[in-house]
Amino acid sequence: MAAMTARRGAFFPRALGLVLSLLAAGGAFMLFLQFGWSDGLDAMDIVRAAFILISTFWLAWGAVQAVLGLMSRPHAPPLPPFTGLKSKTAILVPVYNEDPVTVYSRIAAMDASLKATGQAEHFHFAILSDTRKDDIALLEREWFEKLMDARDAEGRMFYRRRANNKGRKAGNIEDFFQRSGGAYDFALILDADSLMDGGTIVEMARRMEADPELGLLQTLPKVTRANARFGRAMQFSASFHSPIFARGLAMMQGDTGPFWGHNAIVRCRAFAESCGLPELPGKPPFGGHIMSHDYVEAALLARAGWTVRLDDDLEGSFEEGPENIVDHAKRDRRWCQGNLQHSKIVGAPGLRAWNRFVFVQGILSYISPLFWLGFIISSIFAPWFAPPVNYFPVEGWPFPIFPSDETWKAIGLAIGIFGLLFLPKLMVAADAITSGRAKEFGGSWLVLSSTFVELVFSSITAPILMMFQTRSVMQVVFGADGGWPTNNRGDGTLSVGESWTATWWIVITGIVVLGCTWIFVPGLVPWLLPIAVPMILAPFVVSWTSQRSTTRLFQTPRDLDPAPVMMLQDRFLAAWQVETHAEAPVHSQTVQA
Amino acid sequence: MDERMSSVDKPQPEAERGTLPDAPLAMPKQVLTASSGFSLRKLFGQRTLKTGS
Repeated sequence: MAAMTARRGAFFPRALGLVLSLLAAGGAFMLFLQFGWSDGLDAMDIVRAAFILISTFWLAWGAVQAVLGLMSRPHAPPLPPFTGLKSKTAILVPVYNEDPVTVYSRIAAMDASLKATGQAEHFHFAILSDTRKDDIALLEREWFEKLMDARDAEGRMFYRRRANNKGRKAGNIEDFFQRSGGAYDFALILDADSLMDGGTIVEMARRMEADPELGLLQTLPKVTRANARFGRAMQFSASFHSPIFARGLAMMQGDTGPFWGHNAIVRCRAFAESCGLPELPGKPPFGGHIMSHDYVEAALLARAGWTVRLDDDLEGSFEEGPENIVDHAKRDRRWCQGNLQHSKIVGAPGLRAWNRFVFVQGILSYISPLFWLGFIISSIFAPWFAPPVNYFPVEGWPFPIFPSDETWKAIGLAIGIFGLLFLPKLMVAADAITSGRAKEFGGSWLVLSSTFVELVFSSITAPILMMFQTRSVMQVVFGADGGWPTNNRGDGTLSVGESWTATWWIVITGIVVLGCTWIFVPGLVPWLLPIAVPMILAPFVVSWTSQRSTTRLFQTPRDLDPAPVMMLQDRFLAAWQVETHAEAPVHSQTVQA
Repeated sequence: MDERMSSVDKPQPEAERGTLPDAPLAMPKQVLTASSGFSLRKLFGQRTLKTGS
């Protein structure tokens, strides 16, 4: 019944989102056609209008999510009075060539935080290693012994390393269920860089107990501990804008998602029954293991009738993010392949219609830069396709008829597109100032400054990210498998030389595109500069944005007031790092929270 | 639930320290590729709601 209510509740946001996005896209399409009509409509005008149609729909879709998110406030579902947990939950920490000291310091902090709730006996930790490097695996085992001693965790913490890492992270989790899933009611799935407050974990288990139809409960993790300019801009955006966008998304998804693969709790029986992932026919990148398994698992749970829900009122859920553009692009390459692979799953039998739409949305998010690029390239070549202006279109009429000037329509269209990009973020800032949320981010002035600088920052980095995304899509389409690279954590400072190695092809592309425009369509040069200049300066942009930030800009609530579980992690990490740097024989050090 | 908790919490003397409890759960492979042909009925087919923890 709850699921049916959620489904009905999602109808209005879905209908509003689709109608507004289609209206915006249709309006932009018509406006561009009128602009093209002024000097005689040709095939290239129609191609460019089609690019504008798809790109505007995608932009409007994002803007509508923000509008919907602003129309609501986070609220907890109604729950019976809390009398203590009755269930057993496994907290799963998959690791893959990670630094065990840092990962285990997070586990120790979460364990200490759980202990403070008085409900710790209902939770176990399982470290699920897929590490391939033997030296790191040795350290994982060695430090696991220290973790067990430090937390007195006999019978509460487990470690296993798979002989092979078949199915990657999804296979790692699946292996846990097949081996130990029957011992638990719920499993909290984390990433190696996840950190969650004990109170939040208990609350999640409580909500799972209260709603027997709930198959998966997702939290909205906030990015923390960013130091570099790029990392801090992303962290600010994730903390300030994302909750609003995510709330809008959750309103549209209703009981069908989302699931982002970590910082979410699942019902073991539901997950095991519904989420056994097969290998897709064919070779990677489209066949083989399912890379972006989370969206698929959410769709499979929904297909089996389970509720998949995002509770955005749950605080105390954290993760870390990439510190520089290159690391971001590496992660994005993996996600790109995973999302494009969903084109093989979108027609799977029995899926809920909205889950299919979510797959399409994921695919569109990666191919949309290609539409912008297509628009730019077709605009450069458009003059070749334009018919000569006919000043005497009416037969027998002796006087010339001059084409009407539709420049203002083109300018209006550009303003509208920039509005869709910038307005949602400005609306979030205005809402934060009027609602008092801005205080958590350092006050109204700092929020306005951070919002403005973030808009400039994202405008400069967007063309570079667009090029990386375009390359990723082309690599996947032409059959290149991105593999499973280890995530880079910690300091991600890049020199100009290192940045050049990663971006030289973007520089050359920028020079060629700007040069061709200068030669063939000089009138377009001013329009192209905001894209071409960041591309040509990519090594400097990438290097500068990877440097440590020293300003107060992009301040987040956790900078001003770190969560207790973050401080706990700092204490464990600091104590253990002293051990790792000591030359004397290592002895386990007990750290009490 | 209580019986299960006590069996998990027992130390496992014979296994390596920190070995995962042995409590398998079957995870059948799901059908993700469409069978022959396209059908709206298959695409938007009815499902039953499942309940229970």
